[in-house]
Amino acid sequence: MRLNIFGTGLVADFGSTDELVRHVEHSHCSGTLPRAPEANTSPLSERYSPRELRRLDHFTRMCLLAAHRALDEAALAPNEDMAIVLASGYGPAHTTFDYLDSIINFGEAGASPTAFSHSVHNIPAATIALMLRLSCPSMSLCQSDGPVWSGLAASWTWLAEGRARRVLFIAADERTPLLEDVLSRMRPGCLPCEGATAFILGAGNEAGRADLELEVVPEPDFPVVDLRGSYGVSPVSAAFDLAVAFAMTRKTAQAVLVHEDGRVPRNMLMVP
Amino acid sequence: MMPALPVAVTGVGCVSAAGADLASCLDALFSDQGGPAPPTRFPCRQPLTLPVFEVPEAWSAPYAEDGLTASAALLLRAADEALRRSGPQSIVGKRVGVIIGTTTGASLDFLDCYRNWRVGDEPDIAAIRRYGRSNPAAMLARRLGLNGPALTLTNACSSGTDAIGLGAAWIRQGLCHTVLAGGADALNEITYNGFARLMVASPEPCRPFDIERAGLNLGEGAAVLVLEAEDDVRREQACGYILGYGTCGDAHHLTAPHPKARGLRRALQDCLDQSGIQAGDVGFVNVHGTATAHNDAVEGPLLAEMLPEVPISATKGFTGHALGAAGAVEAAFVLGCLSRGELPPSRGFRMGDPAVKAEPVRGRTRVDARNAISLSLAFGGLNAALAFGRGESPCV
Repeated sequence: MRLNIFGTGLVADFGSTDELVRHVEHSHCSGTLPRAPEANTSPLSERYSPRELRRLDHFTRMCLLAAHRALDEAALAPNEDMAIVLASGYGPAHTTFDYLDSIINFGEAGASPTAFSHSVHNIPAATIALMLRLSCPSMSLCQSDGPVWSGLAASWTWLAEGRARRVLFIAADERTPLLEDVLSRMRPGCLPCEGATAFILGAGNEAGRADLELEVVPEPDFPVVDLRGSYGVSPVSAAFDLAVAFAMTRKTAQAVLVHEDGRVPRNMLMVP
Repeated sequence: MMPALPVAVTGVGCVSAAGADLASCLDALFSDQGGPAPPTRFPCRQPLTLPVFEVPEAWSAPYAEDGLTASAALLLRAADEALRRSGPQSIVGKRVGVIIGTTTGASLDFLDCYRNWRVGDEPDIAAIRRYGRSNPAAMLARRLGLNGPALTLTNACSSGTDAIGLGAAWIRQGLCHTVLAGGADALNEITYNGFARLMVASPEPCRPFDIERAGLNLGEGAAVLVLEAEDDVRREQACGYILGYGTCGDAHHLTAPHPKARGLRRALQDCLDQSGIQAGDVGFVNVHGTATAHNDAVEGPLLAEMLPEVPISATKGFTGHALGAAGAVEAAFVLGCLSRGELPPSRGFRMGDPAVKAEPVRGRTRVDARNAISLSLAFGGLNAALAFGRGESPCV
């Protein structure tokens, strides 16, 4: 399964792709990147009015900004030959807890219908389609086991069968106080991170800026990107690694291997 | 979309309020039995009690475990039935993928855990672990020892339909020899209250496409289809075929469909194109038919335009709206109806609405259909359509 990658965009509490690439080049992946309390999505105000952004939750803002960065890098405008695939480990968690807050604070009869509707897992992808004015195929998936590879495989499938000519693939997860507390108890010393990574994908038979093989048997001499200790824990961390691998491949003209843990571990190869 | 090869369905499992398995469900549909009732598993604290379609706990009890959610138990039941029908040869020694659509099954609905944590208690790790272990596709793949891709699809009310469409594509593209595709969702008070507050649920039994429709009834259930390449199975093993699939978002509104059915039109057209079926050759269509004002008013006129004269079957009067499972449950019903050559009554429908421009069948209706369509519409303005072919052998 081969995909072409035309552009990537990353929005995270540790910054963007540039911060990760510098970390690889200068620190050789050792040490932890400094992190903000949350990913910075303020650049969206350069593209949208406050009114347009007012109802977007943080998870969706991260995804939307990452999407724009990927589209910019690909020099591509959204069009209806595109599809959207959004993968997440937990989905839009804050909106779920906002809805639960409304039940707890005001009782079942006073629960917020807006919070409920926004907590439905496909709403971020639907919102992105609305903001980009894309009436197109759209898929959301939610699993903490291998979400990045699964989302890429789904994207590849849609491209291979001609359902779309391009896929905007986004992998995202956000930090929430409850999940951070749980993580600290279940895996002491592990810090969660948050972020969204977007890719503009093609079907594997074009001249993209790099190619991605989704099923490889790793050779010993492939350079490996494994930044898991650098930015914390996230179900979609393999997407951060892929963004860095994309940048490195374009700089060095070398193939780079990225690994995603899971029930069935996956190795993905970024090829110049 | 270009025409594509059919994908064989070699096993079907289904559990809904209508029945513990597909045969029981079909019996209830064709004998016009069933109806919603006030929820029994959680208190209703809304001004109006909204009836729901609950699956009796006894039906999923053999599959229930402390470490699994109710959605997972329903899924295991449906998968068990489907695999008993398809036989072990469908999965032994093969690369088997799993795609399951869900909403509640992947949602962080830890109300009690969250409530206690907010006041300073330690979080209930058992609830968190149960959530993690119960992710539908991962759970099923792990339980069956499967080695192919596993994907939990969360496209709200079209999840089950989308899962089957993607599963068929995995077969055609050679990713897997076999795919277990379907949907599962259990009722819970969090979703119940959400729909109540959106004011789209009816205090009466739902009335799809009816002029006096007043909203949906929530339901629950699960259905799984075993999908295999047509060339890999003997004709008599196939109880049906997946012929085509279409999906498209409206990009119009997050909770209401496009008034001119922009996305549904494309989804249905792509489905017809991929299946190679002409509109005039469609045997019948199972509608999403939730009985909300907006849904039926969009679905009906589009069918009148694109599939005029095609018999319409509305089955949510027997199951309620099972959210992420709905499309899969209705896929199972479509295959059952193709086998029988008959449509059940559209329970709840009494009088047509001129604005809907289409009416489902009222009573049992013979159809000599070689193929059929099923439609699903979802929050976020998503639309999905599946085309099915009649198999050589019955589903039950």
